Amino acid sequence: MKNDLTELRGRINSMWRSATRVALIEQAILLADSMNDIRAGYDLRTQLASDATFEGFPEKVLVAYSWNLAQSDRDPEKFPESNLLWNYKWAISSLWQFPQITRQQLDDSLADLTRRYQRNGGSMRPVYNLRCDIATLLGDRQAVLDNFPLWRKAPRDHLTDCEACDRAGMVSTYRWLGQYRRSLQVAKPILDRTMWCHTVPHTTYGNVLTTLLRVGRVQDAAEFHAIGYPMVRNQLNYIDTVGDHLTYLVLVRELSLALKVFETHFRLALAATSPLDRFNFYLSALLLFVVLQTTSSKVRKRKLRLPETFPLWNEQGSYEYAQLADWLQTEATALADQFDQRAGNRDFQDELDGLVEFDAEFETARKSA
Amino acid sequence: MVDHHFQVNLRGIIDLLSNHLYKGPEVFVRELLQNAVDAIRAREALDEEFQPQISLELVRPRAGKPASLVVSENGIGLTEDEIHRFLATIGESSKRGIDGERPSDFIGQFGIGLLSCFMVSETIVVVTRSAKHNAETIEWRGNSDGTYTIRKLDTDISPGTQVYLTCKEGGEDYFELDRLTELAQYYGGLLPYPIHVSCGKSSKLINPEPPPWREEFASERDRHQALLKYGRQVFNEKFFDVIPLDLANVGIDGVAYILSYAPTATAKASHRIYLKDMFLNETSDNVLPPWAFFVRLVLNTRKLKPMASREGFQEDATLRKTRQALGNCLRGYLVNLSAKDPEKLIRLIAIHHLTIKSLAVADDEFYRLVIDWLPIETSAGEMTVGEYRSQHDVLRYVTTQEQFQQISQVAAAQDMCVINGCYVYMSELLEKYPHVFDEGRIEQLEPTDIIDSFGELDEAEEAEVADFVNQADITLRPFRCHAEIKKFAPADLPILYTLSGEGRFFRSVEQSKDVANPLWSSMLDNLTPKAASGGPFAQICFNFQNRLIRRLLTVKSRKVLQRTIETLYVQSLLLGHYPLNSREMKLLNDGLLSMIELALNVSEDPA
Repeated sequence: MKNDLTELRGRINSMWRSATRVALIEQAILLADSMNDIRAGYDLRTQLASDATFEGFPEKVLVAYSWNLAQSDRDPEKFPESNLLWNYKWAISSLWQFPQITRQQLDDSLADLTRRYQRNGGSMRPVYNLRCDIATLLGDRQAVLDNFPLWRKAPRDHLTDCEACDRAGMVSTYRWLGQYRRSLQVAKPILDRTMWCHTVPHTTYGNVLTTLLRVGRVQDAAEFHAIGYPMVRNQLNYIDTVGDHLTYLVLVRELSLALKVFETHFRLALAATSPLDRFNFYLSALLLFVVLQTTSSKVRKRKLRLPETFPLWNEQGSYEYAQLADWLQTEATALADQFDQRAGNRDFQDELDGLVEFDAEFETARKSA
Repeated sequence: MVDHHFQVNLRGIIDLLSNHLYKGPEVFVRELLQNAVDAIRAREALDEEFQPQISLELVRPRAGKPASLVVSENGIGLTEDEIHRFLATIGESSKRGIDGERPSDFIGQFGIGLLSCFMVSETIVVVTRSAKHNAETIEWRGNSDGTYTIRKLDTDISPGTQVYLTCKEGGEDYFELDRLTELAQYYGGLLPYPIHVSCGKSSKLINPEPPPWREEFASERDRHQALLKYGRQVFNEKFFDVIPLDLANVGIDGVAYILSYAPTATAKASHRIYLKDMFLNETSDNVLPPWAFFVRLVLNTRKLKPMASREGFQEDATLRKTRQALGNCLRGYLVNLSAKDPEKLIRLIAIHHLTIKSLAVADDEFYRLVIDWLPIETSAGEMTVGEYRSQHDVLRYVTTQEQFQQISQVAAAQDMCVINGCYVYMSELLEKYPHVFDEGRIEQLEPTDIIDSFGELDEAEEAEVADFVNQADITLRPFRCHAEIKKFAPADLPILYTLSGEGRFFRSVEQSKDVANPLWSSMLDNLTPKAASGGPFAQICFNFQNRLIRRLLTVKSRKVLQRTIETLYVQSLLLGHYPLNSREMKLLNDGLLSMIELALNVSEDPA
């Protein structure tokens, strides 16, 4: 059996990262566990946490990370705490995607991370960053305003996100605060391609699209959509960025293209384990079908190739816009309810309710295109 | 004659170049050749008739004097003014650091190029005479400490420039004939101007012929052979095939070689990239689309812009256009192969199936072209997608190896053929199928789906098995397993264990909860409320058609029944190639021991 494990690990290491590799790592973990090989189980789970983060399986990140954390706490000499600090950031980012994880639990985990960072002399920059991210998710504007400057000022060290990721996060935060021009200013080195890493500018290109439209940079938005969409197309872990591109296409009334994007990615979105990702995609898709109903008075339905896992799948492949909009509305509302309950506000539901108004904000951009 | 000083720290610049920018001191050969080429091109613009020449003359060390090198050409040369301008550029660069754009003008480049020579020589002497009207012969002498002199010479040289270097300590390697010849060949092999490398009486023209893709051949076959031979020489390996790259509209010429083996994920691609006929680097793989990792390029570009470090190209619109053109070229080759030599294509697919699959995932048309040839593993054995399609309307598949192993046990007997989609790109290819083919249907199976298709028991049979199933449920509850009994083929399979995707996940959550701290445990619970409630997440299906199971139905002793069910449970895990956890291991051991005891005792214990 040891040979099987070695062989399996060899196979894993010779592969590019993919969903297949994730499945193989899980298989190897089962083997390692059955052999009581804690070291192998630990190393494989470290690999799994990493792969699952970038392949879009946040629930797998949590299962892997919690086990590793426990082993490290049990035997800190064999599994030094310092090795877990970087991944803890990913673990927290995975946690908040699930509305079943309560506010208290999010706070407690972040407090635990903070303690461990302090113990190991790490800069508090990641802590402020994560606090900001959680605050934007929970709609706590004051907390964002409090933590954002602290994030920007805190020193960089070996545990802080790379410059590109860090900056990408700020672009997002400025946008959330409504400071659109600042957001674009900060995004400049990323958009210029003088700063990048393996996930940036993939997300940033999607992130800046509506902001660009708002400030009248319609041409730039078109260009960044053209460059950015191929980078994220067909990948589960970028399904929310795909949603950004989908929203953009609807806002500029490229509705055929938007339908194509929806058709291509609906299967992925349905299967996404992250409720947050599903909500964001459904929101963009709902915008599409709402707009379709208002703009094309004659055409009410369309032939679409949707996955057989879709509850409303039919063999003829013909779907009414209203029907799809209804389904999306129902699903998104259920998700919004869960997120809003956790946050104690109506932010998610408001986003859903405000789609038509949101679309109207871009009338000027549409006219100048 | 006046002594002058550079404006800022020259040593710092040299340090910057050698440690941070240039790969190694050997690039001075490239820089000097580049200067020579620039000068020649400038003179060509003025004088169509002139015959360009570049020469590298080595003087061996003797009698306490170090080796020296003269690199000379008959290009446009420099006037005194121009010398001052390149000095200004050096001063400028030293202020900014070699960070931003290299100067785009000839004079600016000349200065930067010269700097690299300080990595191998303490002093650089430039003797130059401009080809322009009434020019004087000027000597510039620069030292690595930042001082320099300029003077006019009495004797005139013919128009052009000579650069004199004297070997400094540590640079001896580069002042050896073999090494120098090798470097000149490496960097300047494609240049269309004759380059002579000489030492004493021996002299060699290092680029007598243009590269084979720029030559005329008697036949297509001859050309093909010559290109393959060239590839063997350059890369020292035998290639599967060669594709000429004649993409004038994006300013590319060269060849692409197809590897005769599949490179691993960690192998670094090694190409030969030339910029305007001058060697640039071996690593610009961002010029190829990501799926094209099965080729090695010898490529010359006239339009792409290199990054400051020259280790890659700038990611701009031109690069994107080039990448697209190269992709189309490679794709065109594959399309052509499918029409002209399908057997060769099949061989190529066998070697490079990952590339082919990756391309098929990205490109609908290519997908349509190759899908039928792609090999797949099914529960009925290995076959191509084409063969599967000819026999089945719907592509049925599972996405993990364990699911495949579970299903394989019964698929054949159920008259089902299931594709193993656990391989890289397989599930994406399958998911794409209905998008590419209008009538295409796919069905992703969970092993539990298979159970749904098993035969149900009638009323009488249900009554017969009620007790047994109840007992099985109770026995298997600690293992989070739900018991069922149905009729299925093959009859010699007593039991089938299936775990849905969800079940698999719950099992992994359990593993973590076993050890996690209270905070994480409670969070994991929140994630999986169904699992937390203690319900089952796996299914055991007993086979009513199996002899052993029928026999078990008559067993009265609770203890024997329990032991047997537990052992069968473990057996079903083994049959499905499931690794056992420690509890299951214990069960296996205890079960076997009990069985042995029972057999030895012959009689049954009363319950």
